[in-house]
Amino acid sequence: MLKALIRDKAGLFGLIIVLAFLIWSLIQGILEILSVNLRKPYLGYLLLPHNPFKYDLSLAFHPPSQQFLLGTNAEGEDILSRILYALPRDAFVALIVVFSAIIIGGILGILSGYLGGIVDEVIMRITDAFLSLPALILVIAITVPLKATFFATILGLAVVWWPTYARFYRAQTLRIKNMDYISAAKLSEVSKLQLFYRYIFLNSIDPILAYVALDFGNVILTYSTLAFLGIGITPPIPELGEMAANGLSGLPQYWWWAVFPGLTILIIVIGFVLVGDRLQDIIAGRITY
Amino acid sequence: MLLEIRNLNVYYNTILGWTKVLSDINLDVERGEIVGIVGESGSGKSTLGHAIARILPPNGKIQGDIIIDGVNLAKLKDSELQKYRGTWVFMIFQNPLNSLNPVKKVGFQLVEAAKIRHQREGKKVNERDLINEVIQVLKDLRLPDPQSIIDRYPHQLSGGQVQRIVIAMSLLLKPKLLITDEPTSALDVTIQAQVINLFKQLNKELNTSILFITHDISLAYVIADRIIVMYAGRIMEDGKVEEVLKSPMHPYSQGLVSSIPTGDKNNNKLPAILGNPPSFFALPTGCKFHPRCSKVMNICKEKEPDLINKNGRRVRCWLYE
Amino acid sequence: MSDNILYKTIDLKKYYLAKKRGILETITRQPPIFVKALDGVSIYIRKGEVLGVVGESGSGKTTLGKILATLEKPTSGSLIFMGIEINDNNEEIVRKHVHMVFQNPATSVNPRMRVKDIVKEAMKNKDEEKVKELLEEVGLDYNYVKDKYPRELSGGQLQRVAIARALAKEPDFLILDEPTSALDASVQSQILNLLVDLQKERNLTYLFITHNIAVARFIADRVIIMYAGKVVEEGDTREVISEPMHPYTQALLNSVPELGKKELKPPSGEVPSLINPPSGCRFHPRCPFAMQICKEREPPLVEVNGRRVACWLYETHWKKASD
Repeated sequence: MLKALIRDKAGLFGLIIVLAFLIWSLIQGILEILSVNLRKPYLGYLLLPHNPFKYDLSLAFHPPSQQFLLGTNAEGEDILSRILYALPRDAFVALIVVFSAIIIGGILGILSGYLGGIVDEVIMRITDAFLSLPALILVIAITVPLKATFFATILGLAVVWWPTYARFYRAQTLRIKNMDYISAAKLSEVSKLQLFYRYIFLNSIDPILAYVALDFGNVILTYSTLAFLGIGITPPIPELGEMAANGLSGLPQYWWWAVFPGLTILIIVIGFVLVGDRLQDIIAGRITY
Repeated sequence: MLLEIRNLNVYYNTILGWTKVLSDINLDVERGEIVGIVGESGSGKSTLGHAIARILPPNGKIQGDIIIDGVNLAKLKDSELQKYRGTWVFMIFQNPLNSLNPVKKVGFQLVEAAKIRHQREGKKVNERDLINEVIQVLKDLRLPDPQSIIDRYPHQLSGGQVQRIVIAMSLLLKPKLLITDEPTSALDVTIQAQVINLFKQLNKELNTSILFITHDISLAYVIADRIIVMYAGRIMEDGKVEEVLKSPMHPYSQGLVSSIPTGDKNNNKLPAILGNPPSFFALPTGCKFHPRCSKVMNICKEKEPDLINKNGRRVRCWLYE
Repeated sequence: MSDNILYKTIDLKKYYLAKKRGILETITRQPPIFVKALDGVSIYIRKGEVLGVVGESGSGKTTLGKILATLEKPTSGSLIFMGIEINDNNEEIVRKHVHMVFQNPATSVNPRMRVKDIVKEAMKNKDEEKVKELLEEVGLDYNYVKDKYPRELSGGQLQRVAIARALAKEPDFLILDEPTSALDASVQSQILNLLVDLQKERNLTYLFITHNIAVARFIADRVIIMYAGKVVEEGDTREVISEPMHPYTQALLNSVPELGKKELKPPSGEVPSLINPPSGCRFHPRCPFAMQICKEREPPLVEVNGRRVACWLYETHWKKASD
């Protein structure tokens, strides 16, 4: 499947963006954690062109130049460095939210589809309830009472994100549960746990992959929007959405302050969309219903 | 001679490049003749049908000549082919629901077919006459309650009924050549028999030539005058159906005929052909059937035999050269 | 009752809901609409025999297979396996002795499992040596196939894997639902030969469901003919096929293409609705011999010369069929 992805130029382009984003986030993320645990702040900006927290009003509002590639903000902090420092948090949020959504959605969706009856009705109505409310409002409603911290935001997003996956796994379970290999497994007296995991869950993954790739982009977009609104941020740690929000006041003369963080979000999301789209085409040719 | 196919080769553009799936097809079909094209999956029989009807997928390529009543369809572009579709060549598929437009009423589609034929013959007709013609055809095919059937959608009818509607379409289009690709495989045995009788009726009334593509040799025996056995994209044997099936010459034909379970449970083994049909990506050298042939000789592994005339038949086998 | 009988059903019925009943229907007390897939089927199968079940779509043959395999529960009627009445609580008794081979090999194995794991599916102790024996018994090269995924194998090879899996727990009884219908002609005969050999070597009992009379004639000792959820004829395969008694059996045999037969004489009409089956005998609208009584009352299954037939034509000959 990987080979097929790469053959298409758009897919390849998207894959490069996604990989660059993830690999950078991994390295920088580890450094950031170490810098906090080992109390050695310089680790956090070892690989960055400048110290993102270096507050120097004399350097404020510098346009993009050789020294500050993407310019500086109102406090004289280098925007490029701030962007690079912020990326790992987006990756972290996306990974945690999507994986927890897959697991929670998976469990509920498979149980719902397999058992049917009242269990199905209850789970589906709860899912409907969640899906009928706009995700963003719901996340805000959960996060704000929890003091809108970084982890509260992740919790809020995870709580809201699973319903789509539940629906999805339920649909897959309904498709699979009437297949002969499930009947054969029952006759072979396979345990229920094995049945759910090895026979249903593993066979539901393929069609989801494309959606998952797109969904990473969705989470990042939603998270950035929350940061834009000031939710989930822990100053002075930079967040892409928050940087864009602050940068609004600098428009239009100091455009680089708002535009570059926004552009970064855009590029990352496009990367995931391209990968997801290409995966969709590949998978559509592979699954037979 | 209605249909003359000369040196037909068909290629598909696949992940592994251009692959030849039909090789050296030479075939004649007379007016009013029913020819059974028999083979297993991967034999190329379905591709042959699609190639003649000129409906290969975009990654398919034709080489050679397909001449119907003097017109070489293989050399025509899609736009030029339009006027031959339906009234010269018509195709019926295995899944009845693939043949009809699911969002248009059955009556509408039948009237459309009748209209096309009249237009091509240069006649003007009005709606009323067309509907009457459609109803008459449905009555001829003994479809129950034609007046209400024409108001139904394809999904409201059973598989057998849909297939009969498609045959009705053939009666209205009056094609010179009807290509049917496993038209009854999805139907029950009793309905299949009814539909086969309808095909025979179509052939008798309109003198339509039929290419009957199937994997079921017994079925081909019932309907066909002549039978062609295909394997790995090649014609292996071609002759009168009585002769080929009563005394098959090619070892593959012999294998196919003897693998039909006949006789009671006498605890005898069914003579089976060992092995599996080959993939077009890895065809054997020489004769394509040699790895599975019980009568294989050395030359079979090296050179592919030509299709030669022998005893009023054509056969592709070194045993007869 | 002979103790040679492995499995029997008494007046088995299976009705499916035609449409899902929501709260609205329950409140307005609308009567539920049922598809009567099986409507009173009483059969028996002896140890060591091959019972063929022949019918077209809608006959109920697949449903019968599923119920015998305990994959579906009957709506009413009894299932008696090895003398024990089977209900919701003791299904495992059946499942310990029964396995099934399905029509389409591609969907009857988990596409995400390797061949060796598929065969091990039913095995309690995952004995690699036994997997090797089984795969070789069904004619596959152990080293070649053991790590392959289903998509890498042909239909014939996959069906052999499915058979090996079914044999892995040493069942006494195999239910085979059209096991060769989805395979190529040349492979069909290979698999049929294999199934015949296995039955003899392991002294298995088979329920062989098929729509193909020629296959039934080749492999089955006895055969039952089903139509619209009921058994219409039952008897020794050779006799039923050479001298069919029920008009439907005759019509079925007349519709089957055979080398040497240029004419097919099918019955007229369509397969009947299972929601609203015809009154009386379900075959009467299509039967060339239909009499007045056929439209009014359902004929019972009666015994005539060692055969069981459900047809009013044989009323004068009948003595009540024994259970």
